[in-house]
Amino acid sequence: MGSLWANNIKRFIILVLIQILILKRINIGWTDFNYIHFFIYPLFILLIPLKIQRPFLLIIAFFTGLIIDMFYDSPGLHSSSLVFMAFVRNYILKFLEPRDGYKIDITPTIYNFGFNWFLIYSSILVFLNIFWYFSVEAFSFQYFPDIILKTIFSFIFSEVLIVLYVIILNPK
Amino acid sequence: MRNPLVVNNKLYVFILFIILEIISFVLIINYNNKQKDIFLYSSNLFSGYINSKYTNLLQYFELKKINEKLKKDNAFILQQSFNKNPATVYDNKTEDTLLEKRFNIIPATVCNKSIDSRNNRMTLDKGSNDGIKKDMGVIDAHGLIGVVRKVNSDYASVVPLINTVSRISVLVKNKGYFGILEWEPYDYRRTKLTSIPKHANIERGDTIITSGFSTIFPKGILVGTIEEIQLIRGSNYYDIIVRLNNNLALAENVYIIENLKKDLKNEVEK
Repeated sequence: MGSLWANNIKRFIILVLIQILILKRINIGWTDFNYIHFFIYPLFILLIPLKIQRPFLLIIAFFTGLIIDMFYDSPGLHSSSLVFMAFVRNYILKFLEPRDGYKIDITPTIYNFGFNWFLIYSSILVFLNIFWYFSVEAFSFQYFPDIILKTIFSFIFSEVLIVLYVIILNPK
Repeated sequence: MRNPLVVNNKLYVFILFIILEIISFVLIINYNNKQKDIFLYSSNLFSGYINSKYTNLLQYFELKKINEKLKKDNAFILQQSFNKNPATVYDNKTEDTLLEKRFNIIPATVCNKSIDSRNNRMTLDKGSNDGIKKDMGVIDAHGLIGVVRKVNSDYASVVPLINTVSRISVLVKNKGYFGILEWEPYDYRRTKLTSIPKHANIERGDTIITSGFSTIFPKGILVGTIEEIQLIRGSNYYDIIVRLNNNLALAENVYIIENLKKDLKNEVEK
Protein backbone atom coordinates (compact mmCIF):
# COMPACT_ATOMS: atom_id res chain seq x y z
CA MET A 1 0.00 0.00 0.00
CA GLY A 2 2.61 2.48 1.11
CA SER A 3 4.95 1.43 -1.64
CA LEU A 4 2.18 1.88 -4.20
CA TRP A 5 1.94 5.58 -3.41
CA ALA A 6 5.68 5.90 -3.14
CA ASN A 7 5.98 4.41 -6.61
CA ASN A 8 3.43 6.83 -8.02
CA ILE A 9 5.14 9.82 -6.46
CA LYS A 10 8.50 8.66 -7.79
CA ARG A 11 6.99 8.21 -11.24
CA PHE A 12 5.41 11.66 -11.03
CA ILE A 13 8.75 13.29 -10.29
CA ILE A 14 10.56 11.39 -13.05
CA LEU A 15 7.91 12.16 -15.67
CA VAL A 16 7.66 15.84 -14.81
CA LEU A 17 11.43 16.18 -14.91
CA ILE A 18 11.64 14.41 -18.29
CA GLN A 19 8.91 16.69 -19.59
CA ILE A 20 10.25 20.04 -18.44
CA LEU A 21 13.96 19.45 -18.73
CA ILE A 22 14.19 17.39 -21.90
CA LEU A 23 11.01 17.17 -23.94
CA LYS A 24 10.23 20.86 -23.63
CA ARG A 25 13.50 21.66 -25.33
CA ILE A 26 13.11 19.23 -28.19
CA ASN A 27 11.94 20.93 -31.28
CA ILE A 28 11.99 18.54 -34.19
CA GLY A 29 10.72 19.18 -37.61
CA TRP A 30 11.70 21.04 -40.69
CA THR A 31 12.32 24.77 -40.58
CA ASP A 32 8.88 25.52 -41.93
CA PHE A 33 7.00 22.70 -40.35
CA ASN A 34 6.70 22.78 -36.65
CA TYR A 35 3.96 20.48 -35.54
CA ILE A 36 5.59 18.07 -33.17
CA HIS A 37 5.29 18.36 -29.43
CA PHE A 38 6.19 15.60 -27.02
CA PHE A 39 4.01 14.77 -24.06
CA ILE A 40 5.02 12.13 -21.56
CA TYR A 41 3.46 13.41 -18.34
CA PRO A 42 -0.08 12.04 -19.20
CA LEU A 43 1.41 8.62 -18.45
CA PHE A 44 1.30 9.55 -14.78
CA ILE A 45 -2.50 9.77 -14.87
CA LEU A 46 -2.72 6.67 -17.10
CA LEU A 47 -0.91 4.57 -14.53
CA ILE A 48 -2.78 5.66 -11.40
CA PRO A 49 -4.34 2.61 -9.71
CA LEU A 50 -7.96 1.87 -10.55
CA LYS A 51 -9.26 2.04 -7.04
CA ILE A 52 -8.59 5.77 -6.69
CA GLN A 53 -11.61 7.92 -5.97
CA ARG A 54 -12.54 9.91 -9.07
CA PRO A 55 -12.69 13.38 -7.46
CA PHE A 56 -9.24 12.76 -6.08
CA LEU A 57 -7.99 11.74 -9.53
CA LEU A 58 -9.36 14.95 -11.07
CA ILE A 59 -7.67 17.08 -8.44
CA ILE A 60 -4.36 15.28 -8.88
CA ALA A 61 -4.64 15.82 -12.65
CA PHE A 62 -5.38 19.49 -12.16
CA PHE A 63 -2.33 20.14 -10.02
CA THR A 64 -0.05 18.02 -12.20
CA GLY A 65 -1.18 20.13 -15.13
CA LEU A 66 -0.53 23.34 -13.22
CA ILE A 67 3.00 22.27 -12.40
CA ILE A 68 3.67 21.57 -16.07
CA ASP A 69 2.04 24.89 -16.95
CA MET A 70 4.38 26.68 -14.61
CA PHE A 71 7.28 25.63 -16.78
CA TYR A 72 5.50 26.11 -20.09
CA ASP A 73 4.30 29.62 -19.17
CA SER A 74 0.76 28.67 -20.03
CA PRO A 75 -1.44 28.81 -16.91
CA GLY A 76 -4.48 26.58 -17.31
CA LEU A 77 -3.62 24.95 -20.61
CA HIS A 78 -2.06 21.67 -19.53
CA SER A 79 -4.25 21.46 -16.44
CA SER A 80 -7.37 21.79 -18.57
CA SER A 81 -6.37 18.98 -20.92
CA LEU A 82 -5.16 16.71 -18.14
CA VAL A 83 -8.37 17.18 -16.12
CA PHE A 84 -10.32 16.30 -19.24
CA MET A 85 -8.25 13.16 -19.69
CA ALA A 86 -8.69 12.16 -16.07
CA PHE A 87 -12.42 12.69 -16.42
CA VAL A 88 -12.82 10.43 -19.45
CA ARG A 89 -10.38 7.80 -18.11
CA ASN A 90 -13.07 5.85 -16.32
CA TYR A 91 -15.36 5.81 -19.36
CA ILE A 92 -12.55 4.41 -21.47
CA LEU A 93 -11.79 1.84 -18.75
CA LYS A 94 -15.44 0.84 -18.75
CA PHE A 95 -15.34 0.56 -22.52
CA LEU A 96 -12.26 -1.68 -22.40
CA GLU A 97 -13.39 -3.73 -19.44
CA PRO A 98 -12.50 -7.46 -19.62
CA ARG A 99 -15.45 -9.86 -19.48
CA ASP A 100 -14.99 -10.65 -15.82
CA GLY A 101 -14.42 -7.09 -14.68
CA TYR A 102 -11.43 -5.46 -13.06
CA LYS A 103 -9.73 -6.56 -9.90
CA ILE A 104 -10.14 -3.86 -7.33
CA ASP A 105 -6.47 -3.57 -6.49
CA ILE A 106 -4.89 -3.20 -9.87
CA THR A 107 -2.93 -0.71 -11.93
CA PRO A 108 -3.59 -0.45 -15.68
CA THR A 109 -0.22 -1.61 -17.01
CA ILE A 110 1.18 -3.93 -19.65
CA TYR A 111 2.17 -6.29 -16.87
CA ASN A 112 -1.43 -6.69 -15.78
CA PHE A 113 -3.39 -6.43 -19.03
CA GLY A 114 -1.04 -7.19 -21.89
CA PHE A 115 0.48 -5.03 -24.57
CA ASN A 116 -2.50 -4.70 -26.91
CA TRP A 117 -4.85 -3.63 -24.19
CA PHE A 118 -2.44 -1.00 -22.92
CA LEU A 119 -1.75 0.28 -26.43
CA ILE A 120 -5.46 0.87 -27.08
CA TYR A 121 -6.07 2.30 -23.65
CA SER A 122 -3.18 4.75 -23.77
CA SER A 123 -3.76 5.69 -27.42
CA ILE A 124 -7.34 6.74 -26.89
CA LEU A 125 -6.59 8.78 -23.79
CA VAL A 126 -3.41 10.39 -25.06
CA PHE A 127 -5.09 11.31 -28.32
CA LEU A 128 -8.02 12.93 -26.50
CA ASN A 129 -5.61 14.74 -24.20
CA ILE A 130 -3.53 16.16 -27.05
CA PHE A 131 -6.54 17.08 -29.15
CA TRP A 132 -8.08 18.97 -26.22
CA TYR A 133 -4.76 20.64 -25.55
CA PHE A 134 -4.32 22.04 -29.05
CA SER A 135 -7.99 23.00 -29.37
CA VAL A 136 -7.86 25.00 -26.17
CA GLU A 137 -4.51 26.46 -27.12
CA ALA A 138 -5.88 27.80 -30.40
CA PHE A 139 -9.11 28.80 -28.65
CA SER A 140 -11.05 28.87 -31.88
CA PHE A 141 -11.78 26.48 -34.69
CA GLN A 142 -10.43 28.92 -37.23
CA TYR A 143 -7.17 27.00 -37.06
CA PHE A 144 -8.74 23.59 -37.41
CA PRO A 145 -6.28 22.12 -39.96
CA ASP A 146 -3.41 23.23 -37.77
CA ILE A 147 -5.00 21.67 -34.72
CA ILE A 148 -5.52 18.38 -36.51
CA LEU A 149 -2.01 18.24 -37.93
CA LYS A 150 -0.43 19.14 -34.61
CA THR A 151 -2.59 16.61 -32.80
CA ILE A 152 -1.77 13.77 -35.16
CA PHE A 153 1.98 14.32 -35.27
CA SER A 154 2.32 15.03 -31.57
CA PHE A 155 0.14 12.05 -30.77
CA ILE A 156 2.28 9.60 -32.76
CA PHE A 157 5.52 10.75 -31.16
CA SER A 158 4.12 11.02 -27.65
CA GLU A 159 2.52 7.60 -27.85
CA VAL A 160 5.77 6.04 -29.00
CA LEU A 161 7.56 7.67 -26.08
CA ILE A 162 4.97 6.52 -23.58
CA VAL A 163 4.98 2.95 -24.83
CA LEU A 164 8.78 2.91 -24.82
CA TYR A 165 8.82 4.18 -21.25
CA VAL A 166 6.38 1.50 -20.17
CA ILE A 167 8.21 -1.27 -22.00
CA ILE A 168 11.59 -0.28 -20.64
CA LEU A 169 10.61 0.27 -17.03
CA ASN A 170 7.68 -2.17 -17.04
CA PRO A 171 5.79 -0.86 -13.99
CA LYS A 172 3.60 -3.40 -12.25
CA MET B 1 -12.79 -9.31 -5.27
CA ARG B 2 -14.33 -7.84 -8.41
CA ASN B 3 -15.15 -4.24 -8.77
CA PRO B 4 -18.12 -3.63 -11.05
CA LEU B 5 -18.33 0.07 -10.25
CA VAL B 6 -15.54 1.47 -12.38
CA VAL B 7 -17.90 4.11 -13.69
CA ASN B 8 -19.95 5.58 -10.95
CA ASN B 9 -21.97 8.24 -12.66
CA LYS B 10 -22.17 10.42 -9.66
CA LEU B 11 -23.13 13.96 -10.33
CA TYR B 12 -20.55 15.46 -8.05
CA VAL B 13 -17.71 14.02 -10.12
CA PHE B 14 -19.08 15.78 -13.16
CA ILE B 15 -19.53 19.01 -11.23
CA LEU B 16 -15.97 18.81 -9.97
CA PHE B 17 -14.81 18.26 -13.54
CA ILE B 18 -16.68 21.37 -14.69
CA ILE B 19 -15.32 23.43 -11.81
CA LEU B 20 -11.71 22.43 -12.53
CA GLU B 21 -12.19 23.16 -16.22
CA ILE B 22 -13.64 26.57 -15.41
CA ILE B 23 -10.66 27.37 -13.23
CA SER B 24 -8.36 26.33 -16.07
CA PHE B 25 -10.23 28.46 -18.57
CA VAL B 26 -10.23 31.48 -16.30
CA LEU B 27 -6.47 31.09 -16.08
CA ILE B 28 -6.13 30.74 -19.83
CA ILE B 29 -8.34 33.71 -20.61
CA ASN B 30 -6.70 35.96 -18.08
CA TYR B 31 -3.43 35.07 -19.58
CA ASN B 32 -4.50 35.57 -23.17
CA ASN B 33 -6.11 38.88 -22.52
CA LYS B 34 -3.99 41.73 -21.37
CA GLN B 35 -1.04 40.02 -19.75
CA LYS B 36 -2.53 40.64 -16.34
CA ASP B 37 -0.60 37.58 -15.46
CA ILE B 38 -0.29 37.33 -11.78
CA PHE B 39 0.27 33.66 -11.68
CA LEU B 40 2.92 31.03 -12.25
CA TYR B 41 5.22 32.56 -14.79
CA SER B 42 8.73 31.61 -15.28
CA SER B 43 9.69 35.08 -14.23
CA ASN B 44 8.41 33.68 -10.96
CA LEU B 45 11.33 32.99 -8.74
CA PHE B 46 10.93 29.25 -8.44
CA SER B 47 10.72 28.13 -12.02
CA GLY B 48 12.96 30.98 -13.13
CA TYR B 49 15.55 29.75 -10.71
CA ILE B 50 15.40 26.17 -11.93
CA ASN B 51 15.38 27.19 -15.56
CA SER B 52 18.39 29.44 -15.20
CA LYS B 53 20.33 26.84 -13.22
CA TYR B 54 19.62 24.26 -15.88
CA THR B 55 20.54 26.64 -18.68
CA ASN B 56 23.79 27.36 -16.84
CA LEU B 57 24.54 23.67 -16.78
CA LEU B 58 23.80 23.29 -20.47
CA GLN B 59 25.84 26.35 -21.35
CA TYR B 60 28.82 24.91 -19.60
CA PHE B 61 28.99 22.13 -22.17
CA GLU B 62 28.69 24.58 -25.02
CA LEU B 63 31.10 27.21 -23.77
CA LYS B 64 33.35 26.98 -26.76
CA LYS B 65 30.56 27.33 -29.26
CA ILE B 66 29.01 30.19 -27.31
CA ASN B 67 32.31 32.01 -27.15
CA GLU B 68 32.70 31.71 -30.86
CA LYS B 69 29.22 33.05 -31.44
CA LEU B 70 29.69 35.91 -28.99
CA LYS B 71 32.81 36.98 -30.78
CA LYS B 72 30.92 37.08 -34.02
CA ASP B 73 28.04 39.00 -32.46
CA ASN B 74 30.38 41.55 -30.97
CA ALA B 75 32.21 41.98 -34.22
CA PHE B 76 28.94 42.52 -36.02
CA ILE B 77 27.78 45.17 -33.58
CA LEU B 78 31.11 46.89 -33.50
CA GLN B 79 31.10 47.00 -37.25
CA GLN B 80 27.63 48.52 -37.25
CA SER B 81 28.60 51.24 -34.83
CA PHE B 82 31.73 52.01 -36.85
CA ASN B 83 29.73 52.45 -39.99
CA LYS B 84 27.03 54.52 -38.48
CA ASN B 85 28.85 56.96 -36.36
CA PRO B 86 32.62 56.98 -36.78
CA ALA B 87 33.14 60.02 -34.59
CA THR B 88 31.91 58.34 -31.43
CA VAL B 89 34.44 55.61 -31.86
CA TYR B 90 37.49 57.58 -32.86
CA ASP B 91 37.04 60.72 -30.81
CA ASN B 92 35.60 60.46 -27.34
CA LYS B 93 36.13 64.08 -26.51
CA THR B 94 33.65 65.46 -28.95
CA GLU B 95 30.94 67.61 -27.44
CA ASP B 96 28.66 67.76 -30.40
CA THR B 97 25.16 67.14 -29.05
CA LEU B 98 24.27 65.31 -32.26
CA LEU B 99 26.61 62.54 -31.19
CA GLU B 100 25.31 62.42 -27.68
CA LYS B 101 24.51 58.94 -26.48
CA ARG B 102 20.89 58.11 -27.19
CA PHE B 103 20.76 54.37 -26.69
CA ASN B 104 22.20 52.21 -24.00
CA ILE B 105 22.78 48.51 -24.68
CA ILE B 106 22.46 45.88 -21.94
CA PRO B 107 23.51 42.30 -22.82
CA ALA B 108 21.47 39.39 -21.49
CA THR B 109 21.02 35.65 -21.98
CA VAL B 110 17.81 33.83 -22.82
CA CYS B 111 16.98 31.38 -20.05
CA ASN B 112 13.59 30.17 -21.22
CA LYS B 113 11.57 30.48 -24.38
CA SER B 114 8.87 28.96 -26.50
CA ILE B 115 8.56 29.27 -30.25
CA ASP B 116 5.77 26.96 -31.25
CA SER B 117 2.68 28.05 -29.38
CA ARG B 118 0.32 30.91 -30.16
CA ASN B 119 1.56 33.14 -27.41
CA ASN B 120 5.24 32.60 -27.38
CA ARG B 121 7.36 34.02 -24.62
CA MET B 122 10.95 34.44 -23.72
CA THR B 123 12.58 34.99 -20.36
CA LEU B 124 15.89 36.80 -19.91
CA ASP B 125 18.25 36.39 -17.00
CA LYS B 126 18.50 40.13 -16.29
CA GLY B 127 15.94 42.17 -14.41
CA SER B 128 15.37 45.56 -12.85
CA ASN B 129 18.61 45.16 -10.87
CA ASP B 130 20.45 45.48 -14.16
CA GLY B 131 18.44 48.48 -15.27
CA ILE B 132 15.86 46.74 -17.38
CA LYS B 133 12.43 48.31 -17.50
CA LYS B 134 9.13 47.54 -19.16
CA ASP B 135 8.82 48.40 -22.88
CA MET B 136 12.47 48.20 -23.77
CA GLY B 137 13.39 46.66 -27.11
CA VAL B 138 15.29 43.38 -27.42
CA ILE B 139 17.53 42.48 -30.38
CA ASP B 140 20.34 40.13 -31.18
CA ALA B 141 23.04 40.24 -33.78
CA HIS B 142 20.71 38.99 -36.49
CA GLY B 143 17.89 41.42 -35.88
CA LEU B 144 14.78 42.09 -33.94
CA ILE B 145 13.51 39.87 -31.12
CA GLY B 146 10.77 41.58 -29.14
CA VAL B 147 9.75 43.93 -26.37
CA VAL B 148 10.16 43.57 -22.60
CA ARG B 149 6.76 43.12 -21.05
CA LYS B 150 7.36 42.43 -17.41
CA VAL B 151 10.33 42.63 -15.07
CA ASN B 152 11.13 41.63 -11.57
CA SER B 153 14.39 42.00 -9.73
CA ASP B 154 16.22 39.19 -11.53
CA TYR B 155 14.31 38.21 -14.65
CA ALA B 156 12.56 39.89 -17.53
CA SER B 157 9.77 38.45 -19.62
CA VAL B 158 9.75 39.34 -23.31
CA VAL B 159 6.95 39.28 -25.87
CA PRO B 160 8.84 38.17 -28.98
CA LEU B 161 7.67 39.30 -32.39
CA ILE B 162 6.29 35.81 -32.92
CA ASN B 163 3.47 36.39 -30.45
CA THR B 164 -0.06 37.15 -31.59
CA VAL B 165 -0.20 40.30 -29.45
CA SER B 166 3.02 41.74 -30.81
CA ARG B 167 2.73 44.88 -32.99
CA ILE B 168 5.90 46.47 -34.30
CA SER B 169 6.19 49.48 -36.54
CA VAL B 170 8.49 48.81 -39.51
CA LEU B 171 9.69 50.39 -42.72
CA VAL B 172 10.50 49.09 -46.20
CA LYS B 173 14.14 50.04 -46.57
CA ASN B 174 14.96 52.71 -49.18
CA LYS B 175 11.29 52.99 -50.17
CA GLY B 176 9.93 54.64 -47.08
CA TYR B 177 6.60 52.87 -46.79
CA PHE B 178 5.81 51.94 -43.25
CA GLY B 179 3.53 49.27 -41.85
CA ILE B 180 2.78 47.15 -38.85
CA LEU B 181 4.33 43.76 -38.24
CA GLU B 182 1.86 41.22 -36.90
CA TRP B 183 2.29 37.52 -36.38
CA GLU B 184 -0.02 34.65 -37.22
CA PRO B 185 0.56 31.25 -35.72
CA TYR B 186 2.46 28.94 -36.14
CA ASP B 187 5.40 29.65 -38.38
CA TYR B 188 8.20 31.10 -36.32
CA ARG B 189 10.30 32.04 -39.35
CA ARG B 190 7.66 34.22 -41.00
CA THR B 191 5.44 37.08 -40.01
CA LYS B 192 2.88 39.35 -41.66
CA LEU B 193 3.26 42.97 -42.66
CA THR B 194 0.05 44.98 -42.91
CA SER B 195 -1.02 48.54 -43.74
CA ILE B 196 1.18 48.94 -46.82
CA PRO B 197 -1.11 50.70 -49.35
CA LYS B 198 -1.54 49.00 -52.71
CA HIS B 199 -0.02 51.86 -54.72
CA ALA B 200 3.27 51.24 -52.95
CA ASN B 201 6.03 50.14 -55.25
CA ILE B 202 7.48 47.15 -53.43
CA GLU B 203 9.01 43.92 -54.64
CA ARG B 204 9.94 40.53 -53.35
CA GLY B 205 13.27 40.63 -51.62
CA ASP B 206 12.92 44.16 -50.26
CA THR B 207 14.45 44.58 -46.84
CA ILE B 208 12.29 45.39 -43.82
CA ILE B 209 13.78 47.44 -40.99
CA THR B 210 12.38 49.04 -37.85
CA SER B 211 10.91 52.48 -38.38
CA GLY B 212 12.10 54.22 -35.25
CA PHE B 213 8.69 55.86 -34.84
CA SER B 214 8.19 54.33 -31.43
CA THR B 215 10.53 54.95 -28.56
CA ILE B 216 11.30 51.26 -28.27
CA PHE B 217 13.62 50.57 -31.20
CA PRO B 218 16.02 52.88 -32.98
CA LYS B 219 15.55 53.15 -36.73
CA GLY B 220 17.20 50.65 -39.01
CA ILE B 221 17.30 47.36 -37.12
CA LEU B 222 17.06 44.53 -39.61
CA VAL B 223 13.84 42.52 -39.44
CA GLY B 224 13.70 40.41 -42.57
CA THR B 225 12.91 40.38 -46.26
CA ILE B 226 9.67 40.35 -48.20
CA GLU B 227 8.93 36.84 -49.33
CA GLU B 228 5.46 37.07 -50.79
CA ILE B 229 3.13 39.90 -51.78
CA GLN B 230 -0.58 39.31 -52.11
CA LEU B 231 -3.33 41.74 -52.95
CA ILE B 232 -6.70 40.65 -51.71
CA ARG B 233 -9.44 41.86 -54.03
CA GLY B 234 -11.35 44.81 -52.62
CA SER B 235 -8.66 45.65 -50.13
CA ASN B 236 -6.56 48.77 -50.28
CA TYR B 237 -3.63 47.18 -48.56
CA TYR B 238 -1.18 44.48 -49.46
CA ASP B 239 -0.92 41.27 -47.50
CA ILE B 240 2.80 40.76 -47.19
CA ILE B 241 4.65 37.77 -45.81
CA VAL B 242 8.02 38.67 -44.34
CA ARG B 243 10.72 36.09 -43.81
CA LEU B 244 12.51 36.91 -40.58
CA ASN B 245 16.23 37.26 -40.74
CA ASN B 246 16.46 36.13 -37.17
CA ASN B 247 15.89 32.52 -36.17
CA LEU B 248 14.30 32.83 -32.75
CA ALA B 249 14.80 29.16 -32.06
CA LEU B 250 18.54 29.82 -31.90
CA ALA B 251 18.47 33.17 -30.07
CA GLU B 252 20.73 32.90 -27.07
CA ASN B 253 22.65 36.09 -26.44
CA VAL B 254 20.50 39.16 -26.75
CA TYR B 255 20.89 42.89 -26.26
CA ILE B 256 18.34 45.10 -24.60
CA ILE B 257 18.01 48.63 -25.88
CA GLU B 258 17.37 51.44 -23.48
CA ASN B 259 16.25 54.67 -25.08
CA LEU B 260 17.70 57.47 -23.00
CA LYS B 261 15.61 60.13 -24.72
CA LYS B 262 12.34 58.30 -24.37
CA ASP B 263 10.73 60.66 -21.90
CA LEU B 264 11.60 63.69 -23.98
CA LYS B 265 9.93 62.23 -27.05
CA ASN B 266 6.87 61.15 -25.13
CA GLU B 267 6.60 64.58 -23.57
CA VAL B 268 6.57 66.45 -26.85
CA GLU B 269 4.05 64.03 -28.32
CA LYS B 270 1.70 64.18 -25.40
